[in-house]
Amino acid sequence: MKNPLRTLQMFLDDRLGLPQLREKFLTGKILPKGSSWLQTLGFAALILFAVQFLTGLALAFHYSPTTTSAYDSIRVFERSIPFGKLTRGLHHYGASAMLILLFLHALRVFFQGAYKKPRELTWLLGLALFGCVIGLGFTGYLLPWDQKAYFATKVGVNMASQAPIGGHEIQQALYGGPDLGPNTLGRFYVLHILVLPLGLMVLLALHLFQVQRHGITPPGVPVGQKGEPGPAYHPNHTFKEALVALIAVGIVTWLALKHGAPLEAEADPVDLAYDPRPEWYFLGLFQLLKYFPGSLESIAAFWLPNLFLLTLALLPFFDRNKERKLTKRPIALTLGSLFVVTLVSLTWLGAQDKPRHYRTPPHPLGASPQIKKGYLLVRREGCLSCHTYTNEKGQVFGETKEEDDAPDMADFDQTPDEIVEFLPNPESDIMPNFDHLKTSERRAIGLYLESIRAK
Amino acid sequence: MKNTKDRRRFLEALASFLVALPLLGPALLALVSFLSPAPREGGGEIPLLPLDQIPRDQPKRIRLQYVRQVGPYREEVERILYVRREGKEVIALSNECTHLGCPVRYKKEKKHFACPCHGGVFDLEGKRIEGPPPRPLNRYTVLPPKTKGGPIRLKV
Repeated sequence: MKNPLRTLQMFLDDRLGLPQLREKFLTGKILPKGSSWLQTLGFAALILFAVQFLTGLALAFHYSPTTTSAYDSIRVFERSIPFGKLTRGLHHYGASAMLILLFLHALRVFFQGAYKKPRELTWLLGLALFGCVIGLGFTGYLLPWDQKAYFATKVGVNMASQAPIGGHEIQQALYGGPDLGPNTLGRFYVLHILVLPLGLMVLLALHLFQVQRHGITPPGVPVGQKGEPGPAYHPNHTFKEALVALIAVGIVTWLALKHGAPLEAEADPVDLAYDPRPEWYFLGLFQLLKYFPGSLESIAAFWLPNLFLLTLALLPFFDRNKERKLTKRPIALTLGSLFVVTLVSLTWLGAQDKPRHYRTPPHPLGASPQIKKGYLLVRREGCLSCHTYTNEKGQVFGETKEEDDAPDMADFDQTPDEIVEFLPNPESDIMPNFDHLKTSERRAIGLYLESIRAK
Repeated sequence: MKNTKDRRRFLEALASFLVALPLLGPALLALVSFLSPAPREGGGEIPLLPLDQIPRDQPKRIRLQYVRQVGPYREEVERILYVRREGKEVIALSNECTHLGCPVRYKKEKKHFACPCHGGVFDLEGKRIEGPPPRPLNRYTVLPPKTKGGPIRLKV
């Protein structure tokens, strides 16, 4: 009797045509001579996209897209869901790794002249894909609803509003209301988990279809000439692809385990002590904005980035040089290198501008509204600019100068009622009077202080 | 010749496995997240009624309301329960049928709880008398009053 598994396999092979597909796309494919490690970057980015998809799924099962519970849902996820910290860390660092890989992939395509005829559309689709990934990064970091989320989004949306026509409308559409608030969070959530990933997948299918149709660019071979055959795609090249992807995911895992994803204090629009900074991949743009004061601001916020994008999009159409060897493309080499140096320098300069902010110890999960109010007041009144707070793990919040001699908040022993009496009249040479606070506000502060030390 | 072919097939399979390898972990994380319910934060006690307001013969129907924290949410919970005194003990029964969760009702004339769905019947102590329920009705843990004459408390 025939092996039934074998019979099932033959049935499926015949109906689905898998062996022919395998032959066409994997085992029968030969790459052009000279293809090597540089041709693995796009694939590694694809694997990271899959990692983002899966870890994003894990986060989405527990995420709550409302301003009142988003922040706590992230805290619960990291604290109580198995591997929560690791999962969120992977998602956080995975996004950065994907951007870096895509950037390197784009540089490879640029410096090898792979955008030239007949691969103009592959290049354009690639640019659109890069846009989707940037969009995912931008919409993604609003979701934890922490300080960075709030302020970086505000700055980003306001930059979009610098567009000479329809700027205001773009801003309103992104906010989904008059200002950054609950509606924005809902919109960004839908954009982040539905619109952008879906768009990305459609563009990706088209991009890969183009890659299949035109094949990998033979390195160094001028436009119109055929290259010589090189290594087999599967398994020779797929080993290299697998290795690069494994290393990338390995580094991301290491970062996630070692540092975890950052989570700042919960968003507070009126916190005056907070210096907003964007995610590292926007630091270049952040730095650029500083060089264009006042009336010229729209140049940096709108014209420069968009003209640059337009130039990139039109690049395959005005660069008619048929050569692909870098030595025969002096203009491309110069401009490309100049761009890389400028971007890296701007990003580095942007990173030097260290923000001055101290974190306020978070209120306990599930705290009463009064304790939450006390937490916000302690932040707003800037208590941690003199006092420190040391939690039971020995982690110190706030910064203190020695001459201040302000006690650590963990050592306060006053009851909430005593705090109510104490704040308007501290009887101290250094500590200011907080008599502008209402009794209920002072009590909220007392309750919050009690909640972070009561164990 | 056959050796070369086998070797190639093995390498093809190995390369495919290595490509899939970095996705195994994240796929597992997604599964674990899906299978992990949001945690309940802490437990609580709610004051109910002073002992002298709890009847001895017929159970009293009470609507229980409290706030609990589940994951990031503060939930307003409402439940129906039946309380009765028997000797020195207070019996507080949930009205959820242990079969499939339909709300059981107290039948005064027959002195039992009947489920409107599949015919489950429970006696005054919550023990099953008839029908498909596998277990007696769930009982709340009752704590004594903190002060004399004060309300008894329920653990939720």
